[in-house]
Amino acid sequence: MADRRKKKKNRVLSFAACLALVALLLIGGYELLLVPRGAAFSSQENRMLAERPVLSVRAFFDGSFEDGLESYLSDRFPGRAGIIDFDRDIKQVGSFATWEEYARVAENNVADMEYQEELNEEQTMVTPRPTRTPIPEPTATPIPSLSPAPMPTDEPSPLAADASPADTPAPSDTPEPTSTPVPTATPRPTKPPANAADYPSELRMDFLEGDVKRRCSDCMRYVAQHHCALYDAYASLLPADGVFVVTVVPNSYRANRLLVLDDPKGMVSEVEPFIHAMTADNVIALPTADLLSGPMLEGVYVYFRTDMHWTPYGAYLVVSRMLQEAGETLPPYEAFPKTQESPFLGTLYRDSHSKQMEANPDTLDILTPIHPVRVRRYTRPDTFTEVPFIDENANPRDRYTVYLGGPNGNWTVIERTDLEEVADRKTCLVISDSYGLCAMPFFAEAYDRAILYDSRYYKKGEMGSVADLIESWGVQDIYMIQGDTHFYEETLSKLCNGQF
Amino acid sequence: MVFSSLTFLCLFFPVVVGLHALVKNITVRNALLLAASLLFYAWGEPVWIVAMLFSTAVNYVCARIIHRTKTPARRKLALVVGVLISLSALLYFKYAAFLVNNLCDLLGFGYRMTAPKLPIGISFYTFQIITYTVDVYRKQAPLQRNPLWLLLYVSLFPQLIAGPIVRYSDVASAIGDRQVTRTALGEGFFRFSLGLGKKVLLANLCGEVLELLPAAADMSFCSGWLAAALFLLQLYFDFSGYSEMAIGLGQMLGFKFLENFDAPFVSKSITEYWRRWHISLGIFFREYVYIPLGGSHVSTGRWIFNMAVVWGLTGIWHGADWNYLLWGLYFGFLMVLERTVLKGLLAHTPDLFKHLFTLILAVAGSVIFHSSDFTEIGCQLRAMFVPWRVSFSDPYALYVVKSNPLLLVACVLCSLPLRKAAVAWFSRRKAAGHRNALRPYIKALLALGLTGLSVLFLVGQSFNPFLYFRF
Repeated sequence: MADRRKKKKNRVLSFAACLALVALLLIGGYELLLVPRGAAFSSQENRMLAERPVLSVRAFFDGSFEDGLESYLSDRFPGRAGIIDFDRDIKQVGSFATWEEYARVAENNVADMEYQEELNEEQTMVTPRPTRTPIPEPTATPIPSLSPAPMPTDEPSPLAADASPADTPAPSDTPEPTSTPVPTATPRPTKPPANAADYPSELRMDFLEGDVKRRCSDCMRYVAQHHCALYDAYASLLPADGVFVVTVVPNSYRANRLLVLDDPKGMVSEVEPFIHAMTADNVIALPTADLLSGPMLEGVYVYFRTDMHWTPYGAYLVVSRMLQEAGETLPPYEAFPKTQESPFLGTLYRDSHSKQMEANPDTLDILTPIHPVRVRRYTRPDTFTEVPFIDENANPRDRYTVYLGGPNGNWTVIERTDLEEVADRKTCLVISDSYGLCAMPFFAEAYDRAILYDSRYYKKGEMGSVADLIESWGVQDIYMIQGDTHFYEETLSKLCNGQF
Repeated sequence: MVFSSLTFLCLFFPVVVGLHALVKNITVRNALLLAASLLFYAWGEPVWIVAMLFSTAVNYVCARIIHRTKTPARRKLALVVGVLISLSALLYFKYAAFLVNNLCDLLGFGYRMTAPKLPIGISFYTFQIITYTVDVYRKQAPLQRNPLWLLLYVSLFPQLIAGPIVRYSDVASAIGDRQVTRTALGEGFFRFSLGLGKKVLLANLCGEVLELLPAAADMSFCSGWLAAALFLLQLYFDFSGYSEMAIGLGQMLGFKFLENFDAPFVSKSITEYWRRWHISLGIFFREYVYIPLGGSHVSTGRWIFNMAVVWGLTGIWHGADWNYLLWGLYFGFLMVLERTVLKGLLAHTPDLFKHLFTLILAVAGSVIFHSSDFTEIGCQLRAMFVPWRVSFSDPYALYVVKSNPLLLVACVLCSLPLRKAAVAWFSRRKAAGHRNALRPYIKALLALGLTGLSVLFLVGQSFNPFLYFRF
């Protein structure tokens, strides 16, 4: 009897062992034999998944085969997307931390914010921060009523050898369009000489809590100097009255923490004043941190809670201020055709599955320029595909990318279609990461032609030098908008440098 | 290759264990296991297999000379040559840069030696091969005439990379002949799954949570203790999990390895703590260093010297840095105190206080082990032991506790001798006439569940969104 029980016990456990061995082998065999070995893209992780490595003596001896196989097995594991969600969900089981607590510890920044420095002692900048004009209040600017012009589908690029505006027949039944008036060139004030060594070696972005500054993030001065050199190079390409306006956008992850401070007063950034002082006269640096913290504290919805980005209204407030530097004004926000998507759960939610976020979803304003536009994505200087300004089919897990279908392509050109006869379109270049996407309705409205250039997706081999393109397209002003992480890591700038 | 990788779990493990169970001939089994072990070791770093082959070859020859020669002096010479050559490889790869650079600093030379890449598992297999030669010299182990089977002992993949340190005499008979029974397969799989769960579900998660806590300079009293405790738990689950996987794999392949951990956190003294922590290393140093030095049967001064040598070596074995040396000496010092000054006091201290005292000292020791920067060590120890100089708590500590209550509870529970308690409970029930019919099912479900969950976590942990490039 006892022997039979013991045998039964042995059978059960050894059966479990065999079952596990077979199951594991089946998974491994399935991945090696049945999963297509080629490239695959994960929209969940926004990256190419690992390909099956090719075994060679060299690959085995340098370890690349072994690493590649592990990545491949992991990336192509059956049901990986569901497993990742499960993994995240199960880690949150039992958690009773609030979103505010999460925000406080996000990015390991709280402890180094805990230093006590008097505000007065901090005002030691050599160059005074330029006085800023307040953000314009929305005004009831009448919206010009222009009928949309028919959209030609085969218009060649202005860079193509045989392209000329004369080749395009003017539509006969549309009102005579007019180009946006170019502001009169006024000499820009000369900046006082500045010495980088007079600035702190770490340029900080700070929260103001009562009389105390709390660190939001910081940038090494030498990194900021690298940026300055690049901005000067770009600015040198512009006509005499052209400006290069730059700003660094704190991501919502950081900025939203302002709201959990005990006595919030705002945010200040040392980065842009430094850039402003250290660059050419036609380079203007505006701190988004300063510009948005006031509205944020007043409850204005300028940052998403569940997504990394600013809201389109936050973008509007900053872009309108940037445009002022080039002498442009924007119609009020309400004037832009708008639809709303609610609830909107952005990428922060997607990556965390936070219950607090789920309970406080965002609303995504989807804006288009007031004037009719067409959007062309260039793969070569003379080859483009036409894409919608709002991509309704954008990734459902990242709806922020409805704007222009998300960041991609070499060169995205947005042109007013009601100005077909205008040969000399006023053109701006927007150098940006994804923060620029929801700002494009405003640039496209303020300029006859707005070009979006995201250096992460630009292929110089296909398009050629950016400097040449700037000249070919007749770019008059350049705007650079980049998320703080990209700024600190020089992600865009290093690429821009190589593509210049 | 490591056990907690998908390559191992989904390919290597089922293929090798399955084939090994199917093959009945011991020579074919050994050949299969040797080939698998060499592939396991060569995976990722094939070049360093040469160092292992060289060390094995030298000790094979030396052991043969020891066995054949009758002259004591020649036997001793062969022993010294074998041990020294093995140790010199370890010395070069692991300690040369540390020694040279510190010497240069001391003498004011500007030269810096770049540390050579450390062959995986060199600390373990060096000690194993030394035990073989020494045991043959002491006539405590039989001579292995087949160099391939000696290589199999050295390279045996379950314990190759992270122990336990297996003495040749413990596995000699199994290399000659072994059976893979159904019981061993099932029980081995059960132990393997427990170890895998400890490593993937507890140690890795402790490591993730630890990352959330602030740097030592910014630690509050709570985060200082929390960081130290979490690191100790991570270390324990990582190492004991790996050892448990090795023991389970050994069982599935017909070997019986010694236990390496025995719930060290229930100890009532540091001496007991070290009898329960990394047991195989303790045995090695006791058998091959401490006793040859004279052990405790010497004068007090000499005994303290012996303790300093053994614990200095124990510390430095873990890594070539001053903090490891200090960590080893710290425990050696505590043991000397326990056996001398505190002996009388501890005899009259209630068990609860002894537990607490031991835990506090072990957690404090983990701070020294964790960081090679003495400023950091100082800052964290200050936060832990001089609370009035720092704030009591901080948002990090609060967040870690509130967001991971289940993990913390699971860590505490799993660091207790639950398995032993469960076995004892089932034995009592059996003695009382109960059938314990559910026991095999519970074990099977636990094993399958832990393995499945661990694989899911391994896939999940590789979730690598390209965050910065997405925005």
